[in-house]
Order: sequence, then C-alpha cells, then structure tokens
Amino acid sequence: MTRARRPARRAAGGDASAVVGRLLGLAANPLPSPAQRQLLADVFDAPLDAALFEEALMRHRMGPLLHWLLKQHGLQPPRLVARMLASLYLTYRQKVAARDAFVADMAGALAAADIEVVFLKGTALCHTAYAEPGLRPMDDIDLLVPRGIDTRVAEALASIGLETRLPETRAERLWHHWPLAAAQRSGTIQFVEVHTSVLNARLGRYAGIDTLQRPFQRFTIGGTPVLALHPEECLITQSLRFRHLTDPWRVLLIADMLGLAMREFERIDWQRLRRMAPRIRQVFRAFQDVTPLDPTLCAALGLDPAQPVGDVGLLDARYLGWPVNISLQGRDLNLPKGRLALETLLPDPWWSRLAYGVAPGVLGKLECRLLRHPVNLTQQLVRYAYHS
Amino acid sequence: MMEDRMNDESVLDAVFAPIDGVVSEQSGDELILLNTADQSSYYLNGSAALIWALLDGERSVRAMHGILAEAYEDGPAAEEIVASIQEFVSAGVVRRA
Repeated sequence: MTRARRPARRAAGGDASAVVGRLLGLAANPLPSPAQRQLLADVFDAPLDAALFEEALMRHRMGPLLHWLLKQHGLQPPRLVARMLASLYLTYRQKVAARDAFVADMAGALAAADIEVVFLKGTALCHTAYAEPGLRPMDDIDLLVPRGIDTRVAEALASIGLETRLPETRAERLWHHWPLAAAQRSGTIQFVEVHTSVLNARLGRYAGIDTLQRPFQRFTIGGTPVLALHPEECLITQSLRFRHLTDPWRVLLIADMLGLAMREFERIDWQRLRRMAPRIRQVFRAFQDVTPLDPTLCAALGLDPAQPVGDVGLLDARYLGWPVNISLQGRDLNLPKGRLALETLLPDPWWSRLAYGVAPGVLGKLECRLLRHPVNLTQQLVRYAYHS
Repeated sequence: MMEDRMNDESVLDAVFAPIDGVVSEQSGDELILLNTADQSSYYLNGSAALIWALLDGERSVRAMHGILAEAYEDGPAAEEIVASIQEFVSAGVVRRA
C-alpha cells in the first residue's frame, strides 16, 4: 500500500499549458463519443506537466469528470495522473452524498410549507447534466424562491436547522440572493444561497420564479422530488455566466451546458431556444473549438459537425482584463498596467465568442469591442462598486 | 497501539473490517482508497486489493488466506496477507470486528 504524495511544482511552459488546456477542453463534454476518445488518447501521448495539470484540474474542477470519461473510454492515463483523478472522483462522490441529503431536506421543508422552490446552478446541474452527481464539483447550494415571502421561507429553512439572515441593507435587498447562510451537516459545512432571481442585474436578466419557463425540470434525490430550471431556460442563463467578469472562469461551465443539452435533447425545442437566444449558437460554436460535439446537437444548432476541434490555448483563453477575479487579483493575475488595459479593452477572441455569442469576423469584433463588451464592463463595474 | 503489536498468529485469527468512511475506486491495476475522515489516499496493488475486497468483518484472516489459496495458484502467502492487514491497521483504514 502506497501513501499519496503531491507532485513537485514546476514552472509551466507554453507547450505544457497547451496540453493541459486541450485535455480539459476535450473532457468538457460529459457525453463520451468515439471522437472524444481518440482525441483524449492522442493527448496522453504527449508529456504532461503533473503539477500544472493538478492546478488546472482544481481550478476548473474537472477531475471527477475526466476520471469518469477515461474510465468510460477504457483509457489509462499515466499512473500519477490516474491516482490524482481517482482521488478527486472519490472526494467529490463523498461530498455530494452529504450535500444531496441536505438539498432533499430543504426541498421537503419548503414543500411542506407550500413554498415553490427551484434549485439552481451546480445543485441542479450535477443531477441533470451528468451521469453521476459527484462528477460536478460545486461550492454552494443555490435555491430560488418567490419574492415577498422571505419570513415564511426563513422559517421553513430554520425547521431543518438552516438559520438564514434576511437582507437588511439597501444593497443586500437589491442583490439577487440573501446573505450566504451555512449549516453543519454530516460533519461538513454546507453553504446556501437563497435566491430571489436567477441572475444578478449585472448579467442583465433578473428572472424571478414567477417569470420562468415552465414546466420546471424534475429530478429526485432519495425519492424526494426536486425542481430545476426548464432546460432551455437553464441553457440560456448558464450561457450568460460566461460574461461574468468577477467570477472564476471554469471549463466545467462548458461541460454543464453540453451535458444538459444532450441529456435533455428531446425536451428542448431547439428552434424556440434559438429564437429566444439567437446568440447561443455561437456559444456552442465556441464549445466546438475545444471538444467534439454530437452530430445531432450540431444539426439542432445549425453547426457543421465536421468542424475540427481547434487549439484555443484554453487555459489562457479567458478574460484577463480588469476587474476579473477581483478577490484573486494580485495572486492569480498580476499583469503590467499596459497589458491589463489591453486585455480589458480587447478581450480574447475565443472568450468573446463564448461570452457574447459573437463570431470572430470583423463585424463580430467591432460589435464585441464597441458595444457588447463595453456595456457589460460598465454594468458590472457599476454594480460591483455599488455592492462593495 | 495494541493492534500495532499484533503478531502474525493473532492477526491470522482476527477478523477485520474497513472503517466507516473509507471509499474505494478502481483505477487501472490499482485500487484507490480514500479515508474521508482525513482525506488521506492509499493505493493498493492487485494483491492488496484482493485482500481488501475480502475484509467483510465476518471472516478471519486465516479464512481469507484459504479463499485466496483456493482461487489463485500463486495467491498471496499468509505472511503477505498479514503484512497487508498490518499496513491497513497502521494506516487506520480497518478496525477489528
């Protein structure tokens, strides 16, 4: 029996970063395919910087999914990598069990109080977009409740031991969720965000529970029925998260959308989705640059299924301008002022396609740089300044 | 500490079981153990994984040796099984049943 040891840290070179980025990108599709298998096998032929790989796995939260995919494909990575992935898979599989029990308790308590509740983001996506909930690491439990019944919601949650604090200040009342609450469950602390709208105003789409597309998606945890956003609404709101300039960029967000799109393919009215969110086609086109898409999905979105997976340098193809990851600024990014200004005004073209759904041609670049990005930047800066 | 001083004979006649909170996952030719209490990981080779699989809190180590000797011509020797069990004990992933 061998005790786990962490790999020694080494400086990452450009090639090493490209290999790790390509690997994570390819794994961003939770539906295994022969094309994905072949491309993943090819990547493992190249040397892998274990320290850089581990850091990227943790940052992008791709360990459990990559482990599962390699198992589905019958691929055996180098031993050190295999151990790292299997350990992450086990870690999150165990965490999800404790979290899901709490989610089921919350759903039950709110249902008993006759309060409609929809679970958001990773809390729902781990069930609706992945083969196993443990494949989708997450931090907080996010739930959406109706506005105007705060006290009833708080009482229902208190009945299962979750003490929440209602919004008090003007800034808190304007925020899209209550102050973060926490509860001790099964030896772990579970953090909970009670939302009153799906997204914040910085992303331009206040969506209270009464305005959402129905029927909600339904899944169960241990026999308890739990509701999630309608898959079309979920795809639209998730696609808007890419333009969030102060949240960490994670490859896992691509996996969320591709997993949901394929698992709920038949329930999604693709024509309606494209009418409601015309830019979503370009978002999926950006996905196509990092991982092979299923031909039926390409057909539904009007994409060329023969489009090869590109080499976008995924780890660096993100928004690096101000005010990205404000809480991490300094240790995550410490760019010279000139570079910071450049990255702020002229964001990465692949990221622009992902965030704004604009094609990388001349018109798309102009639209992004003169309209979409400045508007988004201004909205987010104003809201951030107000709330901080 | 008492278990640290176990001799081979006492181990052979003892019954062990995985402690609660140890989860496992096959990865290639290794079995990965994760002790969720302290998040420590352990990697088991093929022989150790076979021994781990037989730890059910009911059969003795001697009975485990019998099963493995019957199933595999070149299965692990009794000393090897005892050594593995002692490693499991010192790692804190099994308990006496």
